[in-house]
Amino acid sequence: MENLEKSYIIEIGLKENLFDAFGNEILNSIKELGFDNFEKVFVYDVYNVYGDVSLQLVRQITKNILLDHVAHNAKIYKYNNKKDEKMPCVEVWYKKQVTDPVAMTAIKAIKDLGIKNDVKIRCGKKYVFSGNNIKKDMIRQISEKILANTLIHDYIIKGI
Amino acid sequence: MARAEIIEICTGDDEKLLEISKKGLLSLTLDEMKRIQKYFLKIGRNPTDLELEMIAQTWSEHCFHKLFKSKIEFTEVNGQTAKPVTHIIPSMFSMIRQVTENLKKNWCVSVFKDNAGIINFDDTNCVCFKVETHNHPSALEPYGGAGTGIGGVIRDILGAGLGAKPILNTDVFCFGPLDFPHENLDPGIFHPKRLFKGVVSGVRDYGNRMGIPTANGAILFDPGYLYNILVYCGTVGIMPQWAVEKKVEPGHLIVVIGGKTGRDGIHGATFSSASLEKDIPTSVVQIGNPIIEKKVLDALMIARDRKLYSAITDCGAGGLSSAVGELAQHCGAEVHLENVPLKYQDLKPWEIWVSESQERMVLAVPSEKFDQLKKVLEDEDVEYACIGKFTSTKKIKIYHQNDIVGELDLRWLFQKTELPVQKAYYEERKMADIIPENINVEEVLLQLLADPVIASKEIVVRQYDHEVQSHTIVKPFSGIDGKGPSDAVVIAPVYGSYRGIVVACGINPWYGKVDPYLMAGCCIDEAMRNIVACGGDPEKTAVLDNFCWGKCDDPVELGKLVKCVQGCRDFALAYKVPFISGKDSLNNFYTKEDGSIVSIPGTLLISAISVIDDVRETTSSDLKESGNHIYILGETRRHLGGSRLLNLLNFEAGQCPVPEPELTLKIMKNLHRAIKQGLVKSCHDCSEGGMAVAISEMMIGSGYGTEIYLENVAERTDEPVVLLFSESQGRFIVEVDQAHIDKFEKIFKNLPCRRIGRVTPDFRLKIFYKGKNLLEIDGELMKKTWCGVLSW
Amino acid sequence: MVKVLILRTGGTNCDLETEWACKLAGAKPSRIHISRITEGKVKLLDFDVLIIPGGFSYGDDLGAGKVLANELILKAKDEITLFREKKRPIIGICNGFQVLVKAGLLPFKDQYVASLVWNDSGRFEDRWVYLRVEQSISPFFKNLPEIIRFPVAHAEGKFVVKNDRVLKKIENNSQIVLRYVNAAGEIADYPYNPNGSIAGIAGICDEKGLIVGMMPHPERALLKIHEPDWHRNETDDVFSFGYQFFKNVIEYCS
Repeated sequence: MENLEKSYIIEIGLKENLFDAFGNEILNSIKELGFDNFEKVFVYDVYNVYGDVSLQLVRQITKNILLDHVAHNAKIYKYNNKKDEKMPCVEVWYKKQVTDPVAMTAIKAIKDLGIKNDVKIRCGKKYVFSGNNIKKDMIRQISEKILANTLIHDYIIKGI
Repeated sequence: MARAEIIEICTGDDEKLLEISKKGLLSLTLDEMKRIQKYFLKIGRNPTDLELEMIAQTWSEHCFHKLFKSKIEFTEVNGQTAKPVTHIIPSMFSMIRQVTENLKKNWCVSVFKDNAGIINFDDTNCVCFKVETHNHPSALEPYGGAGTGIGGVIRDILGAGLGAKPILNTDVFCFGPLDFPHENLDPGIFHPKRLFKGVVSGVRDYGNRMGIPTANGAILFDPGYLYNILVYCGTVGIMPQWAVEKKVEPGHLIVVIGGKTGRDGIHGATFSSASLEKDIPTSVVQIGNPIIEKKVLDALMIARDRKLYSAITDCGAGGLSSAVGELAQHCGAEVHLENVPLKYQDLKPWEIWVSESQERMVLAVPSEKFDQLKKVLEDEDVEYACIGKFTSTKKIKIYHQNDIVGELDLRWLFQKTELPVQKAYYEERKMADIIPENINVEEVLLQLLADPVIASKEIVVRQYDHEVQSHTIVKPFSGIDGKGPSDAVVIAPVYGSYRGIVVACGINPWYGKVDPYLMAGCCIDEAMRNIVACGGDPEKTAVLDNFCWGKCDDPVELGKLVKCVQGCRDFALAYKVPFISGKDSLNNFYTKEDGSIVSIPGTLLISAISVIDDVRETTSSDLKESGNHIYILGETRRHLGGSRLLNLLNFEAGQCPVPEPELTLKIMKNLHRAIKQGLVKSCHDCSEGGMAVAISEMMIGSGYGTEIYLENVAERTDEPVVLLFSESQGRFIVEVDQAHIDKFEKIFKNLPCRRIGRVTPDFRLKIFYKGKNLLEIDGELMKKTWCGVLSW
Repeated sequence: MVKVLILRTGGTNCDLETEWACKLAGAKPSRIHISRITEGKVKLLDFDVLIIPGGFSYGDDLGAGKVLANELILKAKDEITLFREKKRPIIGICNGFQVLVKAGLLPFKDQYVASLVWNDSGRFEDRWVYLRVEQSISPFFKNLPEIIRFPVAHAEGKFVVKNDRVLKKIENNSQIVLRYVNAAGEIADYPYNPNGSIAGIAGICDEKGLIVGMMPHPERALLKIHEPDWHRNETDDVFSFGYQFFKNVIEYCS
């Protein structure tokens, strides 16, 4: 990814008390694939913010644009491909050549805030899995058969 | 800065020419390459990469429909002749056109020439309809492919005449079985369930965001679509009558509006006609941006009504090359590619020219109107650029930063040429007229209600906003709890007016496996049945054809297509319905790792549109009141070939339904009259699963039961299995109350109209045969079965 | 004549039928792009009613209604504040409701204590629902029977609150205008409650009752023939419940 050292990740997830419809749907699809050992899937929107940004700016963008204070929790961290994850998970990002409408809207919303910096954004999804005896190859299969299309997506498995 | 490359072709031999075509992914044949060589030898230079790309795009199967325009040497073996008979067919396209020309319907305004077929609606408006396919991209990336599919056909409507306002989307999908075992799946393809969810989501998210109701369609499942799915997307639009004609004049500015241009979908036009293969570049699929297209729509409606442009077309396959080329065809154009708004800067000129980036339209703008147009576009936040002007040179001249990167003679480029003669072969398939014995009709009916082809599609349909714009008067589901399936959708597109359109479709590839000629007749019959059952007027109905076929350089596959096209011609003439638009998607086949080839079952979609005076003179399919009488209209014959019953039992036999246009048309005209006069309480056509399924569906939407006396269904009583599940065409189940039966029966005097039972208060289906209780099923069980098949 | 401003932007898509609804109800509606207001070319205060109609403003790409809500409070805050101080009605339907909540106009001014999130089904759904007209402080729901029907068509319509105290306060203030119920008028589960909203809440108003937001679409229920089962109910009535709602809003202003 571009500008790794100045690149941040914003991770937005539903608050625990809210029903995660998408996580539930994906869990069902995983079971249809035959993996009964998965117990729960947590889904996060992830935004890779880079270009002319500081941590303060990323916080401002998160607070004012991406975060719904009633429904969401947010985490901000510097992007690191090797970042230790506690649980097995996979990130799915559009390949660079694919035009992402959500990122375009995010840029508009950032400009609306009066931010003049040349901020760049890529949007992705992160899926965190819990269950027994989860193997990397299972997540690879789930990624290719359910979550990502390698024609337009890159996926990165972590935490396992 | 990137420039055009010169491609040395003037000195090349056959081998070299073919290599150039192959290396450049141009899909040009040797004959075509030789024509190009000859042209450039004559003007004394070699072509640029951009010129070759433009020629390849213009002559591509996708843009030029070579196969449908080709002469065909057709050899046929059938029962009557026993010996093969060969004759020459001028072209399949001319067969279809012939129908419309012969029928001379004065309400057909513009057919087979614009982006969509246009018919009259009321004193001031026309409606237009177009159906497209987006099969290959949807197989590779179901969400993006289906989304850009619907986005593309919406642009066809925005580019019809001077632009129509979209008022309805339709969609028809064909998938492999959703329960196909994962472990048996070829590693190169997605599982049908993933394709199903992706395609539905793609159409949903694009259509809903555009604010266009998606309210008619069908979903089919068959192992024949495991490797190649079909995704048909249609759009209906409404436009003022004055906006039907486009006019391009020298001096008009070429203005591109909407999305920016990137490396998206390059070679889409040539790729879409090639078979699915491995190693596909990312650029062939895209994720659409419906909000850009919505803004384009908003701005265009304002600019059109202020008459700020004189012609418009969409950027579809072939991108700017195709759009500008088409508009400039009869005059000429000068284009400056550096003015095209780009997503990123490193595009080569030819890439800009043929890129298929989404959400773009091209306008011809009189120069004195440009400032006003700019204002509208800026107000609506739509990106635009003037990229050149139309000329009178009959040439297209393309510049990139002062370099000429292409110059072609448009007369040569669009010249009609002798196309190679295609060979087709067809041998009639003989099926034994036997049916399986010892069928438990109760069990089989429940199994049919659970057949994914027949079962409720509510879980999909509710994901579409089918009533945005507040025009939808008969919705996809009606009856109590919104569980009863509608045969068609009814739209009243002008606020404050009751005038409306009825839209429906007909599709059945299983008949085609037995007899593609009869399949065409059945599809036309079904589309019209659906229209009429809802209240549509059979005499003011127009149809669209969309052929999806397998490997067409195989004479046997092409032979089936020829038969199907002949069927379209003969039956459309017999039903007196004109074709107003059509499209073909060929080469839907897959090469497996072992080299074997799997073609889809030849599939014809007939979409139908009918204009009615008053949307209140319609009916729905749910039974209305206990005690009312139930009639069957039409003849029930021994038509089980290709039926859902025999598909279910895996039994290959039987006669495929033979439509009876003369009789059916009479029934339809009279049924239309009866509905208009308010004599009909509910009406549903008999299609997949026959009469038994039709009556079940009418019950499910009502909570009432029925008592049916099967021996009354046909004049010559047949076996109950035939009466219940035959898929004879031209049949309707009609509910009439006691007060109106005399009037109703009088209308159908001398026509097959038989009273077969009554609506009962308890929610049970009871069928008697010659005094014996043949079948009895609890309505709740039927409803649960029919509603519970498709899951998300 | 009552002047209604129907606010639109890229992705708004129920503005035309809302315009028609206002005309039927006897008002003079104008569909205005938000940029005309932020540029100062159109003055919000020249209008008597503000309606934010349904659609997918900016694609709902960052959460339904969020980007338009931000634009409103960042670029038109003063005008909105004045509009509300002058006790002029603000109506948000579907996406408009989402905008009002995310702009901090509902349920209480500048307090972000409620939201509209993804349906429990995880899907966009279009279906007709039974709604119970609650005894609320809003004047726009009179002359309606206790149980009415409108369609819903949304993906993010599940009403949630920050905590129980917020729900109590909305209830105690009589700020709930519509609840999802079954045909008998009782709070019920899916599909009667189409999205999993807490306490079946389908629409709310602010503390004065003049800012109203609801997920269901009254502009799609103007005529009897808009109802999904109108063939079952023979009647001479032309209009359905949505028409009465718009009439109530317009009559309040005149």
